[in-house]
Amino acid sequence: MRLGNPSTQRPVYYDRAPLAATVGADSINVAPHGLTTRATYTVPAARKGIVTNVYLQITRQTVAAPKGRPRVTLSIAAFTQALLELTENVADKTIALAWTPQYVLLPAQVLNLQTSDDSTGGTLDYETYAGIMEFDV
Amino acid sequence: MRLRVRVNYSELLGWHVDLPTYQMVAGSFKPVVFRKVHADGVLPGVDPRDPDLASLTCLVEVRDSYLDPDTGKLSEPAVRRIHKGHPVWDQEGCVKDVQR
Repeated sequence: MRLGNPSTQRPVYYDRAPLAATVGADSINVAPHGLTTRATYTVPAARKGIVTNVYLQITRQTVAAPKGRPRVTLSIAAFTQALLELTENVADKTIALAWTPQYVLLPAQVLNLQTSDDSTGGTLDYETYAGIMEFDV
Repeated sequence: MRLRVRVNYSELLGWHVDLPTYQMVAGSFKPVVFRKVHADGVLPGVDPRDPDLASLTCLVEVRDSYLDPDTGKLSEPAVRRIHKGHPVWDQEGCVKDVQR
């Protein structure tokens, strides 16, 4: 008995006109700065996206005096999904987050990668990256 | 494709670019202003209405499909087509004055 006709089955999502729409921003030796949206991704019409992997990292290059709260955030639809905050004021201190969320973005949804540092002096390296595969709805 | 674009400020997004998809290029903020703007951003606490920030720009990477293939400039029809039905990006003038 035949349960389905393979020739009419809908392709799986990764075969529906896929596009690697990865976004990210790397900055080295960055001085304190107000909240800055380093990268944004908006899902086009009639498309969806799947966030396959995320990598966020902060490394202190030079100490601050006094230190603030350097942060990297990833938000989707204006809600914070991941937040990394460096609390130690020690040169070469690194914190990182690697994550495979498999979060499905719907048409018109927005993903933002933001950094901020309200310290006085000192510098940091930032790495922000969201791997996104876009495909037909 | 890399473009130089205007940098704006909002409470939600902080310093950002008014485009649906972009990636800022490190070290590309201009003009650098002593005690206000450095190459990677605006110092914390600086008033977004400060006249020194009125012409703030940075380089961004955008989708090639946002550009007019003939001129290489941002194309409003292309952005509106890609984001058809979007409340912000399918509006007349949605990318007006963004590119510098």
